[in-house]
Amino acid sequence: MHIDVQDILHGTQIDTDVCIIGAGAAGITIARQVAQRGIGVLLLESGGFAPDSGTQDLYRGSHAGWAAHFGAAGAAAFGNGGSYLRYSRLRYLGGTTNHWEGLCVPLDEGDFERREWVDFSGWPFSSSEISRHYKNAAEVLEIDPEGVESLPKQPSLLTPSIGGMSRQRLLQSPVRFLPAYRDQIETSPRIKLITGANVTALSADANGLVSKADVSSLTGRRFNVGARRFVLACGAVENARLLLHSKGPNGVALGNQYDLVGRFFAEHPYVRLGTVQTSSDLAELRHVPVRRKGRSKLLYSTPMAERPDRLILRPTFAAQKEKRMLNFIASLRSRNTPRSKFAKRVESRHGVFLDMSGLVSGPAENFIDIALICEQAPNPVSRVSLTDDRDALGMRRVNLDMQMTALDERLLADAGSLLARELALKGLGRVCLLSETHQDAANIFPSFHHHGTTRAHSDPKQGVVDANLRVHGMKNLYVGGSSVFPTSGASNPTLTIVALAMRLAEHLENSS
Amino acid sequence: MSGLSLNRRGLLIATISGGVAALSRVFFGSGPSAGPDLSEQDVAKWVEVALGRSPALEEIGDAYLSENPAENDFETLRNKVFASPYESAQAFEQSVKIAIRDDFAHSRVIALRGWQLSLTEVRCCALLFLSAGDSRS
Repeated sequence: MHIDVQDILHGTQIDTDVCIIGAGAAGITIARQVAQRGIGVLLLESGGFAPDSGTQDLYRGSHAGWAAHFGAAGAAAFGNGGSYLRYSRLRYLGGTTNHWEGLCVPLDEGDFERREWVDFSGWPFSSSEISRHYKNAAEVLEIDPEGVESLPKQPSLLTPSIGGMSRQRLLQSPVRFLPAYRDQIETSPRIKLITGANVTALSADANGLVSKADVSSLTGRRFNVGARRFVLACGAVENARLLLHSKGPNGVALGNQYDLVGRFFAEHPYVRLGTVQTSSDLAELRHVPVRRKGRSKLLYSTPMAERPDRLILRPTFAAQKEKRMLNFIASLRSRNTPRSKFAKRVESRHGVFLDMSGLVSGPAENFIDIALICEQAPNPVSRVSLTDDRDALGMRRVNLDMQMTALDERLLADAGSLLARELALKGLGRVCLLSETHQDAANIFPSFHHHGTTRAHSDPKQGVVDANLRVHGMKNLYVGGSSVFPTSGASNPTLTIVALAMRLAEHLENSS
Repeated sequence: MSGLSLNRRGLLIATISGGVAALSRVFFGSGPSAGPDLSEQDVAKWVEVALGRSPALEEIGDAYLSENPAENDFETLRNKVFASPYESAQAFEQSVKIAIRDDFAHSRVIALRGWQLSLTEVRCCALLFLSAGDSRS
């Protein structure tokens, strides 16, 4: 059932079993799964069924550190006074899946590990815990379930057979959640969707029970929601913002007893690393690692099912450990390959993306551009905090401060030397690096992937939510989405967001 | 010294192309046994057999010597590259290929204006640069 906020009586209270705040990939997935199990759901969405500038403006905030650089990149790309915060997410039904590229990559097994060279690393559960949900998430995203296995931590790469290397593929989902699931939501007897509904605060008692959510519309209509369980699914920035706005009886923001809410924000910096100069064309290059004997022990080749024009190389866990470096995905793309439809569309609209994608013009033959998607080290200094500036609903806007650690700074040089070494050893050419540190800002761009801010950890002193994604210290408040990622690997996050949403839905059902 | 532009197309031709080296083998493939006492002219020929020849390679050599002035001396470099005698240019070529591979395997990699190159190959380039000094002037 769908209800426009204008049809809700001002000052009323709506009661439900599960209240989900935010109807993006996480919120919609949880709602569908929970409803299928016979549980009533109230799904609150700030926007409607199409973009709206007034609603989108609720995201606006200020930027510091690398976020300021990314803000400038957003301004250059989108014009309009630019805001990384304002434009990195979409605020209407379906959320950011309404313009995503659809790339689905599971996290590697090693991404879940406690890595002694990465401070604050380690998930509160292993990759095996989520593998079943990856399969189910593949159905939601309409991609091949056989392609969503995590790269094993200790792969067998010494035999000449393809082995584990070819099983993982970078798949491209065609699903945009609004057109894909709108009808199902509107016709579900157990889902009540209210659009135009912005939650401005949660109220909780001294026992850790959230009793109600305060909801406002941009037209001034207000009402409350009471629920047995509340789930935040508004994205990493807004999840933190809402928690920071919601004070408990002791005056401390919910989940923030150890000052962790909003911290550990992480992106996937996208870097134009350099060029491979080779005598072979890309079609030849991309097959060499899987055809030749004695291939690299340090790099995986991961064919992209939908992107035969690219070679994807990833470091093994052993290579990460040896170099004590973060994870990354290297995308090698010949300059003379045609752009994807997405890239063409973006380029025609915002010419600046021509360079942001690392697809420079010029002689094409034998030159292959290397782009790197970087994991960021968990960093408590990178954070979302509240400012004194207020939005149209009276909520304090956020400041996003993003800083790089020494580990982040070292990744480009480490990845560059690893790629140079492996490609040279195979006789495939020489690498020229454009950047060896992130400081070369001309070559670094945001991926618009937001992680952290309500990180999961079994210890409440180290995480905002526990292994079940329930806010520490709260009995009925959960968080969905990539804000719970303690580390983000280098994989595009949506597949894992959906898998975690399915896992959370299962937990909500089992604990009801 | 000229600035290092390292034109990519030039470097491509210089470092990857087997054509120049193959042609060179026709002329120098059965040259005299040589080692540390090889003349500048012969060193240039033998390196050319192994790597080919182009202005880009000399630019690489120039850049390396600028950053490593202690090796900016023909005899010093020749002794490092031709540490032992070789029976033929092909034997030297094979030895250089193995040495380059070994450099990459053991992280003896030199970064020159972004290019990640093996120590052996940049030293060979430096020999080319030094041996071409007269013709350049």
